[in-house]
Amino acid sequence: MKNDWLKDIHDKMTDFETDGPQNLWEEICSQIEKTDFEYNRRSGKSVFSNLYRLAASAAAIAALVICVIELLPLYSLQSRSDLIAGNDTETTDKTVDPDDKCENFIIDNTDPSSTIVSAISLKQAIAHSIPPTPDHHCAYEDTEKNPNSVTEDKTDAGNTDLKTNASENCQFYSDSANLFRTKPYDIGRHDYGRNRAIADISGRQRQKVSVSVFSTAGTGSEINRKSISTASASVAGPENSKWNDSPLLGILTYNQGLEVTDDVKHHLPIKAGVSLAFRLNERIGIESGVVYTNLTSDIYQGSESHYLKGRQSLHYVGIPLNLKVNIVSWKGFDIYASAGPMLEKCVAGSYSQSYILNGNSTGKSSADVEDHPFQWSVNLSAGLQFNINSLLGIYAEPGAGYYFDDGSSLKTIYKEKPLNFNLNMGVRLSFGN
Amino acid sequence: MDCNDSDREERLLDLIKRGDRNAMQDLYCRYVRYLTAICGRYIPDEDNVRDVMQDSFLKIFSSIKNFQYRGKGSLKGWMTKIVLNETIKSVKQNCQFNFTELKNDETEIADDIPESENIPPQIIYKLIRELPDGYRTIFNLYVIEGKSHKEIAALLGIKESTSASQLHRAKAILAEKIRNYINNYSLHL
Repeated sequence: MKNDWLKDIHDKMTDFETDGPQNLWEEICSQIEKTDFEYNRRSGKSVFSNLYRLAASAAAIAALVICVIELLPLYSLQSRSDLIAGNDTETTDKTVDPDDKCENFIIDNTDPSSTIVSAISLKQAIAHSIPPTPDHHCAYEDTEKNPNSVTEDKTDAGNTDLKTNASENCQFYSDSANLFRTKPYDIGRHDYGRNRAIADISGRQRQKVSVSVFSTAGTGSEINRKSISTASASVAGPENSKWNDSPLLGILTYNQGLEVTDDVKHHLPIKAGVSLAFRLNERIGIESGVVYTNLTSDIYQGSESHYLKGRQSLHYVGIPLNLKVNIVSWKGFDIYASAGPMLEKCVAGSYSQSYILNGNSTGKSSADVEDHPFQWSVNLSAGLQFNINSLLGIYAEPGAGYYFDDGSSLKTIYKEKPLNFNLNMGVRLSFGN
Repeated sequence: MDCNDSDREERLLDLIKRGDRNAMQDLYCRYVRYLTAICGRYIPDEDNVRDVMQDSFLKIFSSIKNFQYRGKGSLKGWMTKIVLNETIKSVKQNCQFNFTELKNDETEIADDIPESENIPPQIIYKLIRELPDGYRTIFNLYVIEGKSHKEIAALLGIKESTSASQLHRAKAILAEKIRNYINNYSLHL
């Protein structure tokens, strides 16, 4: 009984209604808009939208993986025969003249594509572990510095009767020397796609720091040429010579009549760098930075049993300057375009080679690459980025680059193919305000 | 019909989840009076009621995407829960629960039970709002919301015995107010 009145109060208050605060709805509306209340977007998201985002992420990652796998294998390029001189060389029987500024050569012009450098010059080069350079057109300097080696070489050369043709031989030597040098294998500026870690500072509405990590996906190159060695070397020496002093000559000698291979494999360039982007307005920004590139090439010359193996590694530092335009943003996807020049310089390089005779190692040599040319290029690329969330995005940037002649005597792939296509892919982290 | 109401409500919910602003306003208009009454029972100050109601609706609209419709009354119950939570939060922030032990002479309720059945709900509402802060909260939670002393104690951070004794006091005060109202009303007839 006592509690009946409480029940009565309970019943009356349970469904009781009273006027709501005045203008409350307008305040709620303005509050929703003011705080950038994402209610409309998120509340409208359905399970299908979530699945769509998941599927798009999976597809983008799968495309990234497939591109890397498919584009990793190297493909053959044209023969390197033009790296081998043999232009207008005369044939044989040249007299040794130590006073000539050029060394002696045995030249066989029957097959311009296969030429032989004389034992003397080769031995000198190898003995001093200095690959002949285009800057050293002749081994004359070596001869002057190391007269003893000249004597030794002549002894080993036996009764070879040589004539010299100074200018032609110098040119020939220079070009032939490229076979064994580091510079001709400076293929590396062929842009196989760039592998770089780039920190972008780009702002949209507000400044954001972006770090992008590339995976290299581009076109490598392999130059492979097979031929039959028709070298007619008339070097006589002890049959049991181990060729330690002249492993290269040994290789050439042993490979007479055998199928020889000139094989150059250019590994994918590896790039790393830092870039900074300044946003001029909502759409356009300027991007610059510093990029380091490492180019590695492997050389294989000879037959299966007797061959030369070399590796060249070049280091470039470059400064790109790009104009970046954001074209459209839609549902987490950004499409943008980027274009601009880049100036790079080879700051260091090294070349090492080893010689294999009858399956045994008979010598090694290494040297620094002395030529450090500048390399200009222009790039144009389009980019597609998918933002998985506010922090993480993955992108792909297919593009083309045109590499101008660097004005050096180096033969690079850019001299034959100045226009190269590449595909850059990576992950971009954005953080900050 | 219940089916139609339920369907209508579910359709309204779908629209709101898709961001239909008109649907949101429809929901607001449908339930604002009911929800304001709940909030007003606990908070006598109109400005505070406005603030709590605004916070409550913002919270409702921000989390409605996770709400699964489970038939008639489910939406109302869910919104009520949100408003109650916000209200209690505000009460705990603003009110001082000055609970003192009852004196012996205050433990007895008058023998005559107030005849509240003839008193309109809006008067009951007004009288409840006039109760002192702490008593009002406990009275509402126990009598109207049907919570136990244990639940009230956990909610407000007080002892169960305190909740029980304060309810006793609240009932006495309200009963007195009702009697005074009846007396005054009779005098003015």
